[in-house]
Amino acid sequence: MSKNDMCPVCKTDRYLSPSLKFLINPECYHKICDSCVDRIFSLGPTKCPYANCNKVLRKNKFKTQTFEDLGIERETDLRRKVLSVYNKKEEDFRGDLEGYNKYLEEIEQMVDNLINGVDVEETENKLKQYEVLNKQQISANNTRKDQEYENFIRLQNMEKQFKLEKLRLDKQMKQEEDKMVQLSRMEMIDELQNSSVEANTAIDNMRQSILKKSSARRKQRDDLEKKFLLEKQAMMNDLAAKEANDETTTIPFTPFNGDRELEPRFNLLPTYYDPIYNKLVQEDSIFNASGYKIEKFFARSINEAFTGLDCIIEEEKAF
Amino acid sequence: MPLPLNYTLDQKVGEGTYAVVYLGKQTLTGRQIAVKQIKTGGFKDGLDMSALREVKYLQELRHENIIELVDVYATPENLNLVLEFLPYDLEMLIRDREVIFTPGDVKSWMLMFLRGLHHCHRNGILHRDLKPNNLLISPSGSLKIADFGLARSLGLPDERLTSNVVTRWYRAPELLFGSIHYTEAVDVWAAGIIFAELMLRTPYLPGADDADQLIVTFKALGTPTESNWPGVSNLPLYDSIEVFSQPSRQELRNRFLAATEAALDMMSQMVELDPSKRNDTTGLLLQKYFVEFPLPTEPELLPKRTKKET
Repeated sequence: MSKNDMCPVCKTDRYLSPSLKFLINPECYHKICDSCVDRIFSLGPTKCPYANCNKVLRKNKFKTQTFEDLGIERETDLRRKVLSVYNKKEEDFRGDLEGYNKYLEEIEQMVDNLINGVDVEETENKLKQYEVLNKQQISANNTRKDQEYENFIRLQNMEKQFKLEKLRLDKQMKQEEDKMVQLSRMEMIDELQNSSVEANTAIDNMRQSILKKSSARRKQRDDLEKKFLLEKQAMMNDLAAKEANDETTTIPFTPFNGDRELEPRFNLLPTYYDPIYNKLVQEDSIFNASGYKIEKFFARSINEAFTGLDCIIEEEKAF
Repeated sequence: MPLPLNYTLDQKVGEGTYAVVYLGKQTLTGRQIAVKQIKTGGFKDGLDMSALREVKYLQELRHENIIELVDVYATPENLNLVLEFLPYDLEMLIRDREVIFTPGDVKSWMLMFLRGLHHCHRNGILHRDLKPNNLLISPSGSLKIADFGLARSLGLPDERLTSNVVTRWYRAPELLFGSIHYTEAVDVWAAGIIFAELMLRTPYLPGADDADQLIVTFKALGTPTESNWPGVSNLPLYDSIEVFSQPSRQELRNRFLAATEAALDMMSQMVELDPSKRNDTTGLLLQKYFVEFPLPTEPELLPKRTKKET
């Protein structure tokens, strides 16, 4: 029995418990059987039971192994982690091939760093920073990915239905052909036996009708094929139009509806001091506790003093 | 043509202590309008204060997200404010269980609301009575801030403002503590509570009375102390009542299940206990919340009221 078939923690092997299943945790990739995982981690996160492995593991992170080689398993996990954040596509670079290549290079560098344990902390930080900075774009890309997947499934369903329908028609055609062969054989036997005119015409009629039917089927099949191609084309066009539409109709969002003075018309000197009001606001603690700011009062006063100076009443009245 | 003849009053839609509201039309254009008829007789002090405030501030403010004062005219008995016709308010929508809000809808309303509020604040005007039923919705879906009956402009620092403003559930902590020198931050607080109410579909801090309001508020958002709000103990009504701890981020997430992180960020900046740390409308409009997905719904596509007024 190979070493692979025994749980190194509880020493159960496949011989005694045939339902033995191994789980791994992407923290340290140590193999533990599922009953051990249940037993050890049910009460919350604990250290990995392997000697010298001090990683703290959580039950919900355990998973079944996909690849035989744990090195590959680890690499796919890390790659997935990086790609879930760096999820731009070539189209996003709008023809900037160099930029896209640089981007891919960056991804590979990070994956490589994580796998080989080079500057792990720095790389993780970089990843986190990128995630925070591009949170909105990442989620937009993810929704796009979901959308693309949905479209793919829809297209696939359509194709499947088309194939089924085609198969049904083909089968019917085959059946009719068989019948034709049978008929001609019958005719031959009949002729050899006794050439009666009525039997011959009856069979002839039958053959005619079958021929008609099968040509109708063939036509049906051709039509189906045409229709499928048209539908597919329509769907593709629809998607392309939608994408183009998405790009053209997004109006930039303006929080103030364009109604805000970005450049202040005056600057308050921080040194300005009003002997009466500054003193009042400083001495009465209610001002401070209520969030009162004397600078705001100054700004408001200046504003009020000059409001309306650039306003021509005759023009305003015209509205 | 004498002014009253410019408008027809077709239907009485409501009556309060100070005013009667009619639906009507502008005779010249056929435009639908609402006329608020202020009763002048019977009060020995003359005209009601809130009517004066309304006229004073609405005359100054012209903005897509603030109710338009079309005209004002007086008859021997009444003062009449001719206002833009707005069929329903946000509170009706929040209470209408048949209407479903998407996160994009809430964002769109908050965006229009804050744009309107930003316009008030940059003109130095405090609304002081923000609540869902003062946010009206136009037939085309635009949100408009209305009811400037409690509004006032910020004046000199030595002017004392009354702390008895804003409907209780939307009252900021500095008002609850009786501050008389508050700022635009009281409106931002109310906007934050309305934001929470839009997400929850139920009032966020429904205090039974003024004392209970303090407890409800601090239970939800933590009790202010000298360490997180310097100077709070100097406020007139400050009282070291029961101390509740600050809610953790996770508790907020649990309370607002559908909210994104950016939405929670924005809300916590609006309901910051210390008014000097609370964000202002400029800062809020620049929040990530407004640019992240889902985008704000177009006003025409926002949910409309399903039931007719009974």
